[in-house]
Amino acid sequence: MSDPHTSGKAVPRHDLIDRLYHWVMAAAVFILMGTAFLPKFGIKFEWLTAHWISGIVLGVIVVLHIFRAIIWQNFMAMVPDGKDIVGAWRTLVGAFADTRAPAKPGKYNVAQKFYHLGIAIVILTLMGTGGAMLFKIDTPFWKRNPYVLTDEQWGLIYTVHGFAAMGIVAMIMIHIYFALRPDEWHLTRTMFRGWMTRKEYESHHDTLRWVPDTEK
Amino acid sequence: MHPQLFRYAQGPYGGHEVLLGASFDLLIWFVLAAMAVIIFHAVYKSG
Repeated sequence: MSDPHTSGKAVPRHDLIDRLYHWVMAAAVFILMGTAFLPKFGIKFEWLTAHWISGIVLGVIVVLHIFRAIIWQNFMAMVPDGKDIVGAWRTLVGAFADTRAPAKPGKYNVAQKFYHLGIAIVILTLMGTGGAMLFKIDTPFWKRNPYVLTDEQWGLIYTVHGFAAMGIVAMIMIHIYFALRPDEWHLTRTMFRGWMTRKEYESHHDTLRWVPDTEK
Repeated sequence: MHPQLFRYAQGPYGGHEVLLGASFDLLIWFVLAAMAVIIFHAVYKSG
């Protein structure tokens, strides 16, 4: 059997550094969710240290990801554009009346783009409010100083953090559902091995809207 | 039964209530909303 990398059948989709980012982020988010919610269900343990350390890890990799996306990657590949909106509308209408096949997406489809936008808003909200909460705990690196804000201001920050945390639980559930669907498995697999077959590329993507790096 | 949206505590010296944060009783509603999206999509795709 020929090697898809050398036979021209492998289409690169996610670099190793992007896959590492995804899985480190996933680990951090699961630790954050577990340390946040398990104590609420009566599972008592010393959750705070794991929570704030995971939060800082998440914050650092998200900042690195933003720099990488802006400077080294095609930032616009993840931004919804006019073709995405028209395609989404055709899909919606086509579900009930239109028989035309919806247009193929570029590297990311419209649902992925809006999901990314939503999860970015939620994670940046959690980072901002969680970052402020670091003032309320002692760590080896700093002493707590809760007096930088009033009780009312802290209440607001905890409220926003709490709603965003519950929101991310729902978003992660939906993300995992789509990742496990057989018809999406060709995309999920690329987050493990980094590439898809040329057949998958040509059958699922508009080859004019997404030109892989090896073909530029 | 009406789930509470927020958590409050009595302020110091018996003052007015102070907002503590979101009520985690709402978590089940976020989970149910996600399950509704998943079930709707799965049914739609299987049709």
